[in-house]
Amino acid sequence: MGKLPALAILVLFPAVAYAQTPTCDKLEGEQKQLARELLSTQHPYDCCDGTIIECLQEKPVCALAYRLAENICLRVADKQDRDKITRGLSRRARSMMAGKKSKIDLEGLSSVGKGGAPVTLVEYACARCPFCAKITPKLHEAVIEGVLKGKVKMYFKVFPIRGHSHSKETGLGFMAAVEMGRFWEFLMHSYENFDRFCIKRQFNWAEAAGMDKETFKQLVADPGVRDRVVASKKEGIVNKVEATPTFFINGRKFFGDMNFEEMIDILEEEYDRVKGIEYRK
Amino acid sequence: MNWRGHSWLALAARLYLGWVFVYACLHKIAYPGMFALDIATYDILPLWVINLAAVTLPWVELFAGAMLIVGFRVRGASLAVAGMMVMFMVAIVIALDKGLGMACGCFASQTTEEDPISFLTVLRDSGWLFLAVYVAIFDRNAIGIDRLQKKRRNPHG
Amino acid sequence: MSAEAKKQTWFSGLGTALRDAVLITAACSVMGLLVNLFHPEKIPYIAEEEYETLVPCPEPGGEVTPLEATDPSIHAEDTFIVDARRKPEHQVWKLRDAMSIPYDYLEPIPDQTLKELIRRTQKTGARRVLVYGDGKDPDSGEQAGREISGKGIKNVFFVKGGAPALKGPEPGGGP
Repeated sequence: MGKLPALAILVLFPAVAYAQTPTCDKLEGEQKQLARELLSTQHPYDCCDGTIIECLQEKPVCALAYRLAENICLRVADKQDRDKITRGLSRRARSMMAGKKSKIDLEGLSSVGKGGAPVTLVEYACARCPFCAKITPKLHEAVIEGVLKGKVKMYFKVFPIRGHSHSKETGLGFMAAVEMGRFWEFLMHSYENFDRFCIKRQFNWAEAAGMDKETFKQLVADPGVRDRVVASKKEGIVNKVEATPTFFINGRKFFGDMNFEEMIDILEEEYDRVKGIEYRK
Repeated sequence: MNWRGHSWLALAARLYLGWVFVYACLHKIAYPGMFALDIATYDILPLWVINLAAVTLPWVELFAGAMLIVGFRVRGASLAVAGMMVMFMVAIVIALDKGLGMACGCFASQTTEEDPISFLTVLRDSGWLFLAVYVAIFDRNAIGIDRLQKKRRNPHG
Repeated sequence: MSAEAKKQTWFSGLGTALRDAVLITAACSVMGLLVNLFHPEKIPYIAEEEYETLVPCPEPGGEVTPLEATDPSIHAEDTFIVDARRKPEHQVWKLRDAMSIPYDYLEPIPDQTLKELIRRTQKTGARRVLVYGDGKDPDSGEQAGREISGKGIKNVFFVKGGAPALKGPEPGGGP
């Protein structure tokens, strides 16, 4: 009879740990098995020395361990296989723990988000990159009025991709908008109308974003503006930007999975780190 | 056109193409959601078409592939395969033109590193298109069920 | 061989084949739609939310191998040399009979220039293309080499340190 309670504890023990993150708790069958295996082999890269499952049982709970557990279970629920999940986790660790910070010149650029926000997000992007057009407005919204409000301020650096048609002209357009102090308005308008683009329209878009059309035209043709775009592109190449969008979080290149939820999670993780929030309340 | 060797050459092409299509569709049939995401990534079809395509297309691949293998209604099946090949190639060319560094989504849901699209993908697909068109034009007396049926209908032919 | 068989053209029987193709597609589509009803991984027929598809757009380019400025293969006869610096710099100094292809960070190398490069490498029987640039960080030679290699030209190298490394210290200690 004495064996039964012990057996029950053994069976229930992982379940107790699972009850700590909502997504892990919902998994069933093979998915639950895979999540359990990953949680008991992967280690958080900060804050706690044990495996994630061990860290979840400590009190107070390491915030990063909880975050990673939830991330693993979300990936499992998304039907990612073991290799893909471990690759994603190691890329995430690489993004967050890389020692070297890149030099990024932010002078003269306008940011969105509160000036005092402790996390600086820099995006290198091309005006004609379809996925930049999707993720940038979402991040913009999150930084201004969403979960990242007060936590993150965001900058944009022009990186025209040679393979995109009209990347040069639109890159010059973005930089002209920087010069005219209407950058984010112009960017949002351009990305909103991404599929309706034709080269002549960008002058109308400049007007719609509150700029004087003629001044904008002159700036697009200005060698000084061109030099700034070239300088931005060169800086990106030095910082190993090989595709757009490429993000830098507090100067460290982001290698993680390119999806909105993951980015939000990682930016919040960085906020916790800068603020010294190590444990969950 | 009436050379007997065509049937044998076409048989080899059919078995190969059939295998490619049957193999390609299995993962898509098992995981329609992942295939829908692959289709959506091409950023061509409107949202309301994506899931319908993801649910139906793999079954066309399966049956057209299987029909090529067993030799049933071979010309129709090869035309269906050719039509799909043209569709896939157009999609890949559009994605390449947009400069997307994405996975092909042609077989199992592979990552971009494992199966990125490039002009080689278009070249590979045009090879398969050529085989399908060859079968459609030259395989008039397909070895398999078609030939058996013909013999049964016309035992002295 | 029957007379009917002899009359066959490329397009004979195409109507039947097309009809079959349409029937196969229609029947399989209906089947797919029905199977989805009972599929353990079933999805709604019409997607309710936009798919989140985030795929980065890579800067096009290919493999390019670095070479030290002292590498003897730079001076080999079967090496075709490309100068990626700006025209005025090229006019002041160039290595041997280097072809000038100024690298622009915003605009791709024109197709016409690439065709000319291919024509000249074939004419001279060159086995490798060596690009040198301004030697800065980033180096225009490395970037141009990447772009040339990405266009399908094989054996593309670039000189580490670019033109300044090739020139070496100027006589009289000048810049």
